[in-house]
Order: sequence, then structure tokens, then C-alpha cells
Amino acid sequence: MTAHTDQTRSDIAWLGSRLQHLQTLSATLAGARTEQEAIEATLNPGLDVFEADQAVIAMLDESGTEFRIAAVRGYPDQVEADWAMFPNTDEYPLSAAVRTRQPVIVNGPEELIRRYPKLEGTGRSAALVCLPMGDFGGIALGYDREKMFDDAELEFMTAVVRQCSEAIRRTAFDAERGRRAERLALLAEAGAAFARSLDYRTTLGEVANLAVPAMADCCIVDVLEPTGLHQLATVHVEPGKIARVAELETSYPADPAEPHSAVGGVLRSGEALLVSPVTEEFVRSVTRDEAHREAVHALGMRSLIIVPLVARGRTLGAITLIYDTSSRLYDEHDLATAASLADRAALAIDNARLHQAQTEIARTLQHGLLPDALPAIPGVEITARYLAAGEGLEVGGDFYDVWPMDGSFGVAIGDVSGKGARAAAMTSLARHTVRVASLHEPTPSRVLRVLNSEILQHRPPDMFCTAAYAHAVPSADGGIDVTIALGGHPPGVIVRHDGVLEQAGELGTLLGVREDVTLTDADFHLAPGEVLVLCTDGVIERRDGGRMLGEEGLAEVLAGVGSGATAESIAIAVERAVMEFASAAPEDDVAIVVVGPPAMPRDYADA
Amino acid sequence: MSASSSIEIDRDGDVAVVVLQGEHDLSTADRLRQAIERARDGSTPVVVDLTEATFIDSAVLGVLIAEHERAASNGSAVGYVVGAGAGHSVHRIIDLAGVAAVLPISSDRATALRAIRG
Repeated sequence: MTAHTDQTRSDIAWLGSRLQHLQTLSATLAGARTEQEAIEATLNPGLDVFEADQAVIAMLDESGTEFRIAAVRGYPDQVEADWAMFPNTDEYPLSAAVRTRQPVIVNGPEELIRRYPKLEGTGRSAALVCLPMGDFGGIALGYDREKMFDDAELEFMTAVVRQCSEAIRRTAFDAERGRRAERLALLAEAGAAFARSLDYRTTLGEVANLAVPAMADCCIVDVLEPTGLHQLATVHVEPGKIARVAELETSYPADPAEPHSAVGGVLRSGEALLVSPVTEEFVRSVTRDEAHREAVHALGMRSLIIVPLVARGRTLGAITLIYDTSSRLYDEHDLATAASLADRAALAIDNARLHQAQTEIARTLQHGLLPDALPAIPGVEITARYLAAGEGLEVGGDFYDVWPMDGSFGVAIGDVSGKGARAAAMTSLARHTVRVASLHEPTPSRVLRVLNSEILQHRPPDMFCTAAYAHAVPSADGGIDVTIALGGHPPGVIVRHDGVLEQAGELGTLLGVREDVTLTDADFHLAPGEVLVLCTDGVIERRDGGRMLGEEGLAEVLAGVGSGATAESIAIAVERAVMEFASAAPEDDVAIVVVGPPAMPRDYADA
Repeated sequence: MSASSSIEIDRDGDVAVVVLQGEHDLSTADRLRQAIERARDGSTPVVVDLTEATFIDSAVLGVLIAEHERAASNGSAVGYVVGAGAGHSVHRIIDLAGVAAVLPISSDRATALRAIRG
């Protein structure tokens, strides 16, 4: 009777204590934020619930071929190290439990060695229970003494392990959801970063910086240049490892033609590569000799992705993503993200390269449109201003030129419709045609007539040109005699010494559309201190919302500079008026040329 | 500028009329080109009316000239109307560029329609 009571009392105490451990376990599991926290909670306080002396939780890797130890309690470090990984076969009790989804029970040490000879020598536990955890892993519980497990006890253990498994699965799911959100954020960030840069080296540096650590421990970007494959960016979570990666690259440079090169293979095939986990066989296939193999082993790659950078069907290089230190494994989702990242980067690079090439062409062409320097002509002040709309890319059709002839000089200004290389080629033709024609044609209208015929012969159908050409002869009184003709170009403005403005030139027909054009020569004289202002339509058509600077606005500016203004100060005033008329940059190119005989020194004029 | 501009295609019997309103420049030039070509639809005579335009630039002039030449080369016809109501700058650019000597420009739509019907 007494014995019975004692037994009952002890049972009740045991149950109470077990219940308490169970509550602690539930609370700890519920609080777990990460997969590893949930795994740790399963062992501590879990071990108290199971009343076990040792425990191991192992997770099946994504290929399902191997188990990786996720947490250990109660085994010596050596055992832990030896068993970091083990294959998924029936030769191991934990593997067997996961494979059959049934508990594996070993009641004593002899039975253990008899059934699982591979565990010989690990003999720490006398009894062992292995239980599957979902489909992703299992738990092995070890006991120092031989032990029998009845159905009720097994049922209890299975229920508790199921609770732990759910917690691990939940945290893993949260982590996966977090990673997915991270991947999306990464791609959005990449898009923005790439859009900021027009230099492809910067873009690729951004790729590597974005990828680490969000989706790689190490990211290497290789680009195909005319001289070969170049490692353009290498980023590692542990900066100390960058040197080792670089060293490997120096000793065994990636080569698109090298059969034992993973990057080379991807460049050749244009197909992305996912290696997860990195196996000995894979390392063997991508290394050239034993030393190479050892160097790659030393990096400790666990998993890797290589995606080609392909834009408009052209392979520009490859991005390599590696997990080593974090021992995470890539999956198909990561591969898709990497491919998407590579697509965006490749497009950005392609755009940057195209932009670079076009800017160079544009600069070269623009160079042909404008004189390097204005000639110095005795007794004449000449100033020119040019404002290009757009940033280098859009070569405008505006041109101006001033050149000396025998005892006289020519001034030309013009505008070829359209933009880009085609317009620039036509503009160059126009500028040089006027110069050449001025040497043998007797009047400005005849010069423009030659230009008209020349453009008619060469132009595409939607292109035309407006131009003004003035022939100027310095006169004995210190002034200049000018003859000007306008071919569809806004007339020049004469600023008289008293500030009065006059129109310079008779309106004429635009050039390059018809053979029969109306072009008129108009003569005038500029006294010292007076100037001729020639502009392209970018000045008078300068707009701000519904307002336009117009010829009236230009007249106001010219009237405002006052008498005694130099050619230079007038050009600056017009330029400033154009710039300040609207906050937006000019939509059209602007060319301004101002010429005139300088004002006489006062004492000389008075004399 | 395109916010304050429009291009519409009307019909006057056998003639398609392309009506421009507001400001037209490089940013709307392609739309204008497409509208004129759609209105022409092969060989339909087209009148482009700029009377309600407040601004045109040289890119628009380029389209008007190119479409005139295209019409001439494929045997169709195109005419232009710049009525008194058109913006000052529209009249001015046409004067400055001397395009009246190059393009068939009428001062009202009825005249343009008569001219194009021969």
C-alpha cells in the first residue's frame, strides 16, 4: 500500500516535472525567430522533456543525398566533427528513420553495432531513438543506459518532435519568405543603381556590392573585353578572402576557351549554371591540376551559381555567386533571381557602351561643325557662343563659321533640321560648302544658292537647312561694309551706336528643298561701336510653358545692353537671356555670332 | 509641350483634314508625320490645317516639307492651311523660313480644299 502510494507520488512528481519542461519547450519554440533558434530549442529545453543524455538534429540537404548536423548536445567535439555530414542511406539509424518516416529504436550498445556497424567506435549512447522531423531531417536521442520504450512513451516523443518540427518548418518558411522579399528588394535596388550609372564598370561594381551579402558570400564579375576575359569585380563578406580569390584568378585565369573552367563553360553555352552542393566531382571538372584543385578546395565553396551577362544576343561576361562561409545552398529561386539580376546588369552595360560610343561619335561630329577658334581679324571684334541642347548625345544641326579672305572676311550661321549623326553630317557639309563657295562666288546670295544645290543633291527627304551668310569688308573709316543674304534664316539684328535696332537682311527661302529659291543681297555699313548679331532659331524659339522669347524678346535684350557694349558683352547678354528665360535646359541648340568694328577710343573720336 | 497640343484627323468629303492645335515641336513631330500618313492611307488627298496651332518649330516644318515631297512622289496631294488665327510665331517661322515658296500654303481651309481637288 505504502509502496503503491510512493510509486503514485513519484509518478505524479515525474509527470509534473515533465509537464513543466514541456511548457518551457513550447514557449521557447514559439519564441524562435530563426530556423537555428528553433533547432536549438528542440534540444534545450527539449532534452529535458525527452530525458535523453545526448541528442543530434540533422537536416537533409536540398539534393536529398546527405545529412548535415544542425545541432548537437552531449557528444564529444570529436564525434561532432566526424559526423558533420553523413550520407542518406539505411546504414545510419537517423537516415533510416527519415527514409521510412518511422521511429528507429535501439535498446542497447550490442544491438546498435549489430544493426549499424558504421557506428562502431562512436559508442557513447547505450540506447538510441531516432525520429523523423517532417521530410527535412530527424532527431537522434541517446541514453547512457539501456532503455526500453513503450508505445505510450514513443507516442509522446513523436508528438513532441512533431511540435518541434512544425516550429522549425515555420521559421524556415519565414526565412524563405524573408529571402524572397530580400530578392525582390535587391532587384528593385539593382534597377535603380544601374539606371544611375552610364559607366559599365560602375554598373558591374554595383552588381557585386548588391549581391553580397544579400544573395552570396562571394560575388565575382567577369567581363569579356577585346583583350580577353577580365575579372572586373570581386566582393566577399570576409574582405580577407578577396585576395585568395584574386590569387586563384591570377594563377588560373578564367578563359572562355578553357574546357576546365566553369565560367568558360557558361560563356560558351550562354546557359546559367547551378551547382548545389558543390561536389568533389564538380571541383574535379573545373580544375586543371592538383594544385588548382587544392586552391579551389581551400575556398570552401558549398554552393554556386554562374549566370551569363547577355544583352541583345551578345555575351558580355558572367556573374558568379558563391556561398562558402555561410554554408547556405542555392536553389532554383536563387538561380532565377541571379538570372534576372544579370539581365538587368547586361542591359545597363549594353546601354552604357552604346551611349559611350554614340557620345564619342557625337563629339567627333560636333567638332566638324564648329571652328576650333575664331580668326583674329584686324579692326574687327568677333564673338561666338554655342549652347548644345541635350548631353553630348544629340548632336545639333546648328553651325557657325568665320573665316578671313583677301582683305575681307566671311561670317556664316545656319541650322540643319533634325538631330543626330545624319544631321551632323549634313551640317558639316553645309559649313564647308559655304566656305568653299565664298572663295569663288561674287555675292552672298550666290554662295547660298550653291549651298542650296549642294544640299538638294545630298539630303534625305525630310532634311533642310536655313543659313545666313555675310561678306564683310573693313572700310577706311574703321567701320565694316557688309553684304548679307538669308536662306530661310531669321534676319540678323544691327545694334546701332545709339541703341537703335535694325533688321539685317531680306527674308529668303529655306535651302535644300527646291532649285528655285528667292535669295536677296542686302548691304549695310557698321560704324565703329556698332554690331551685327546673328542667331539660330534656338534663341527666338526659346520657350517657357506658353511664353516664347521671340524676336521681340531678343530685341529687348539687345536694346538693354546700351551703347558702347562690346561684341563680347552682347553675346553674353543674349546667352544669359536664353539660359534664364526658362529653368529647363534649352530644347534646341543655340548659336550666337556677334561681329562689329570696335568703338573708337573716346579722345580719338572727339578729335 | 505635348500637354498643350493635339493632332486630329477630320474628313471633308474625299479629303482628309489633319488639324493641329497648340504647340508642336520636335516632341510631336513624329506623331504629326504618322497622322498625315494615316490620313493619306495610300492616296487620299490631305489638307493639314495649322490655323489653331500656336507654335511650330523647324522639326515640324521638316515634316510638312517631307510629307509634301512624299505626296508629290507617289502622285497623291497635300495642302497646308495657315489661317489668320494661327499663332504669331507660326506665321513668323513660315515667313522667316520662306516656306511659302516651297509649300502650297493657303490662308483658309476652303481655298486649300478647292486647290487640292483641282
